[in-house]
Amino acid sequence: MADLTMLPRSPLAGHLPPGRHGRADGAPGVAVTERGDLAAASLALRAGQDAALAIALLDGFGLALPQRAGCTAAGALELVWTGPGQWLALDAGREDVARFGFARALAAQLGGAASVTDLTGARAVLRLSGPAVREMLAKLVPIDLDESVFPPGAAALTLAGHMGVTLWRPPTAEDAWHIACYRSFGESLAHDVLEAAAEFGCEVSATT
Amino acid sequence: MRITCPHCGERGNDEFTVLGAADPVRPAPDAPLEAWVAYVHERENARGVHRELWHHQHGCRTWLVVERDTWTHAVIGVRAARETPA
Amino acid sequence: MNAPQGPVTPARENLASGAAAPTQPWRLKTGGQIDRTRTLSFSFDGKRFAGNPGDTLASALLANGVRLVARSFKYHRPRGILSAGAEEPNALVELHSGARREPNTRATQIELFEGLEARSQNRWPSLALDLGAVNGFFAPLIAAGFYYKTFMWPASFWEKLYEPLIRRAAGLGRAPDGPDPDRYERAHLHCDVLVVGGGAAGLMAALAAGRAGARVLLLEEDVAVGGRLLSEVEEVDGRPGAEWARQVESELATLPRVRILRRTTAFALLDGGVVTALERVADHLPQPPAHLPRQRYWKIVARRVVLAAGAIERPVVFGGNDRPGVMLAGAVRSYVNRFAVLPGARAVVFTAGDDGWRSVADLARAGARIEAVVDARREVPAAQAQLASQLDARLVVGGRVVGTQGGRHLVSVQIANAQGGEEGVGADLLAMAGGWNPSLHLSCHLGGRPRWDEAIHAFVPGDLPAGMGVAGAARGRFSTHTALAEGAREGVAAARDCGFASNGPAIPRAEDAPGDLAPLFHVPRGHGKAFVDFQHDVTDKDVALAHREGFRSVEHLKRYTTLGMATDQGKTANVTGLAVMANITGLGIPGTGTTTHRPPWTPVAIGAIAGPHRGRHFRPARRTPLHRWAAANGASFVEVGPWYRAEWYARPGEAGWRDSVDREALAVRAGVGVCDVSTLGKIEVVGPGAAALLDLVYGNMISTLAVGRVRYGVMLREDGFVMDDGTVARLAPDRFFVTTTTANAGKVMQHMEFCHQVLRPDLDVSLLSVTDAWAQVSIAGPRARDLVAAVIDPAPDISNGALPHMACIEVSVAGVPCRLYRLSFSGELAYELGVPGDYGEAAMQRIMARGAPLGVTPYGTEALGVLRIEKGHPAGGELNGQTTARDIGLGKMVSTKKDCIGRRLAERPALVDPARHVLVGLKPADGRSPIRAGAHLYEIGAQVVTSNGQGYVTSACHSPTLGMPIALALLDRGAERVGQRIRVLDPLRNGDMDAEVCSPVFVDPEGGRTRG
Repeated sequence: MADLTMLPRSPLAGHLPPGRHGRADGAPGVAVTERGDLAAASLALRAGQDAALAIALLDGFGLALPQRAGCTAAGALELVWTGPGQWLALDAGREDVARFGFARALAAQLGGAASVTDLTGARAVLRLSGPAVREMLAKLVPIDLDESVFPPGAAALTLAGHMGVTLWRPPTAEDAWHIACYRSFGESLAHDVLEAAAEFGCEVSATT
Repeated sequence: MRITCPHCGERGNDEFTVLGAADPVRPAPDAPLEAWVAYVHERENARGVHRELWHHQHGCRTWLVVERDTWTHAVIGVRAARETPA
Repeated sequence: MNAPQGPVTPARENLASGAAAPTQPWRLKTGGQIDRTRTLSFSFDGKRFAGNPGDTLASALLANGVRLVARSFKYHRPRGILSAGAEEPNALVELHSGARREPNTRATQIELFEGLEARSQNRWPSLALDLGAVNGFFAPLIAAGFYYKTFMWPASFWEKLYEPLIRRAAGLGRAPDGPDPDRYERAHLHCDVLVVGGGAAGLMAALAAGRAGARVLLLEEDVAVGGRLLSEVEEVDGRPGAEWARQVESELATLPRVRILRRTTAFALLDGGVVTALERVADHLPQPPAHLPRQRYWKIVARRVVLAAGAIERPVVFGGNDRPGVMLAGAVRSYVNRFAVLPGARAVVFTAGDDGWRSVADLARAGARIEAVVDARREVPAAQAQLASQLDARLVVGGRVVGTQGGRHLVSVQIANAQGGEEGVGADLLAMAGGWNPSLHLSCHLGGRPRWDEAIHAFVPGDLPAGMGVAGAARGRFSTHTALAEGAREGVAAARDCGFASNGPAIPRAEDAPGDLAPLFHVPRGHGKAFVDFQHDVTDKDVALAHREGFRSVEHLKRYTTLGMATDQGKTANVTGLAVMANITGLGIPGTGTTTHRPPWTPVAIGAIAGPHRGRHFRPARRTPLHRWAAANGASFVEVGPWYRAEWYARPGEAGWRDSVDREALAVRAGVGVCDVSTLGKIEVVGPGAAALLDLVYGNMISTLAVGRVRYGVMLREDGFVMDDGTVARLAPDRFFVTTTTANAGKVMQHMEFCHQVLRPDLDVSLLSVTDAWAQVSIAGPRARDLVAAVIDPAPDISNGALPHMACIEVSVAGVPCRLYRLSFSGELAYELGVPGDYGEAAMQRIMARGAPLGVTPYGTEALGVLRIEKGHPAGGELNGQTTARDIGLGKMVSTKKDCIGRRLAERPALVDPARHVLVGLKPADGRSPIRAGAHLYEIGAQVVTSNGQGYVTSACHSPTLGMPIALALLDRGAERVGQRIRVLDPLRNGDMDAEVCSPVFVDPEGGRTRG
């Protein structure tokens, strides 16, 4: 019997057709890309290990630990606050099954400072940018997105429509907004994003 | 209604779910049945200031003790339930 | 007494066209804020007319001399246009056609667009000849409370006769024919200062707060800012008011933190400074442009609110006050000054004070003949008397209007002088100026009560909700100067409260007349019906009747007469109704009651509230990583909460779903089947305190579970009933993987977080939902081990000895790290394979390919249900919130050696009563009749009364294994009754049969297959 290779399929594969959506004229107000290539893991702080975790992350990965409702980045790595004592760690620098090494590497480095659980493929993640991204997001999430309230480095857990989402702006040079939901909700989130962006014209590019 | 989550900041009440009174304390396992019945079923229907357990279900998932006025709907104070009051 | 009859002709020299030109004969030659360079064509009741950009439907109809625009709700009386704004109770029309048809829209707020189609409502066969007007003859029968009296008897007549008749006669427009084709959006805004209303006060407030640096949002209901400045002949800062407003608007546009939303109505104030508003994005267009919604529902979070919503002029209650041609005096000025329309050629002005005199002056300037000014005050200022004399108008000081005449529009006005003498005056326009009611509604939406202000004979805002300030006419301050000054003051204060200090803008020069006013609400004992609520046809006599019959409280008055309960919510009626009642009670208005204002300020379409959440997108859907695979393989899907689950996989030649389900279930019993169980809730519980937390949460002991083993667990609520069941796998000493039912996943996660954070915050443990991390596939049947061995990478030992029932190991599939749990829900040898989501579809393809020689069969939730019913495993029907662990045969699982949620109250006498129902199996006595879930159980021969009920059927199916229908049921003392017969009664669905009570485990009661 011929062996079958196991090719990964990202959460939004097929749900975000590349190309122009919505208003067709003018420069697109919103650019959308699925981040389908991420390795992901949850970190949960063990009791009393705040300092140890912060040091281990900085030493091992060059990542600062966001204390509350924030995010940090270092190279291909991102760390997003997802609740008291919990973070979502992302690594864009691994592919295919090598992604499962990320949680193992984190666990090895962090020792007993945090519980690490692999979440690769568990979230649908979108990268959003463009001049109308804030106005588009205002149709999805109820939180204040003003620059003074939600600058680069901010993160929030909130509701988009009836879906729980994580929204963050990595403190990096490219001004992009990232939104994640449970994998199973991905198709609904992709639809809602395209609907909300239609007014401004929306350019979808292929999964990075 | 707006609730200020100690972790997430001020949010609309649609991100939260309410459980009920925060003050009843779970009795010891061998406490008399009456104490357990009271804990589970008996509630004051306070008009005025009331402490309630709310869950930031669609946010950081913290259980909160929300002190609010059931008459004016004013939220007086919010703290994480896991943290003992000062 | 009789006034001269006949058509009224416009004063030609001031009008745009002579009598020969049919278009817009009542349009003034100059002035107004309409765009005269373009005309718009529209139709009303099928007749074509022309208007101009800047018109409302109402102003365009008036420009064309159309004064009869509607029939009233109850009496089918001819009605015209009363107002020029949101308060309009008469000129309600139907807009658009087909699926876009919208009833009850206010002609006074509809912006004219090219091709607009409007129709009058509530008339048959036509507006001019309405046979329903015959209702008028029966008017005595349909006075207040007629619903409660006239149609009381006999009861059977109600549905068949009365209700259809009333519905046909008393209509408020027709609903559209098809689903709404337009899009609606919801969106959120946050600001420091929200200014509601863009008139003089609102503009100043926005300017003050905006210049101070605050984030400001200004909402204006109208298409243009300016408020009354657009309608009055008045200067601000030495310029026409409308021009000043435009200049402030352009300055606001340059402030980066100020946003203006026009065509946007703030319709509700909610707790915590939340205001909801409706933006009519495309209602002024024939249809919404592509990619734009028709309307947008804004949820606005504001730290401070400045209410500058202006005021509404109130009608005076006198005989015939509803006749087309009777209009609010302020609306008359709007039509003349803003829309350049003369609403009548021969006018009578009935005023309670100075304000009506503005209409006298403006009408005269526009070329109308002022026939008479009826001023209710005992004396009038000399300047006004002089104006009347200059205009050669009859001045009736201390007079009243006591009646009107005319068929479809006004032809004469009956005036009583101070001594009571009456005379008729020919007129086609009667402007009434009874004073203004502040639009304080938003200040009352949180339960606040307004306060009566004797100086202006109106309610003003009482105690304000936290964070709100009120300015200008909304506060009862009617001079333009005061509005400007108060707006600036409130804007400065609101910005300062948000941390932006400033001195505020200079107050521009403007009119500051005190505005003298006599109280004038009601002219009793006039001629004809005197309306209080125009839209609901409530008259002064109805109010008096309510009083006589004891409905004296304002709330009773309202409900008995339906005063204020129409779609306009009594904007022009409530205060007047109260005044009429106060006259009768003699208690004065504050002693009689206050009005209550509830959201919404103006009607809001359900579609706008739903926003994008409709149809398929009513709520977000959850799909498993195997969804696409299942759809490609013939699955039909069932919604389980937000999830879509494959319910069966139809194959060609199968006659119906039962064929598919039977085939799938038998394949599992005979060979091997695969089922997508990814929707089960999955929680990872990690940390040194994990075992202790799970011991608290589950009835059974979890801490004794060995690493690499799985335990079935039952979870109670604190009241002792079962909450959920599932499995717990121990992956490491400090790491557990917990599954829940699909339906309860969210509830269980929340409950476990409660147990941790509230009850045991001392435990060092974290909880993480990993439901979406795994594509979980159940592989079940006698050939399951062969299939698993063919799918996973070599070479873990999965023999029965190495991986027995209720054990788990880590495996890999094509190099992808996976988890393999040996678990059975079907009663067969079975596994669950957990595959990371990205690889779920590929893994399923591999399973199907490698399982082909074994005859692998995908099965759906229906077959899953059949298999579990055959095994007597409890699921949704049994975990119904009314069962204890003992009831469903899990009593032994609740440990008595430790504390757990629900243990203590599960010991309550009623919950351990041996007479309680327990889970049993049922087989039809005839071996073939299907049993239905929900049917009730009775002793054969017992009387069918509730107290004789013995239990009910919780789950039922056809068992392909047994070849007969089977069921699970909760039966009182069921364990003792195995072998007995019981009556299964389902009266709602005509079911009545006998069944044999048996063990709930129909297949393999010894469990040998599972452990093999």
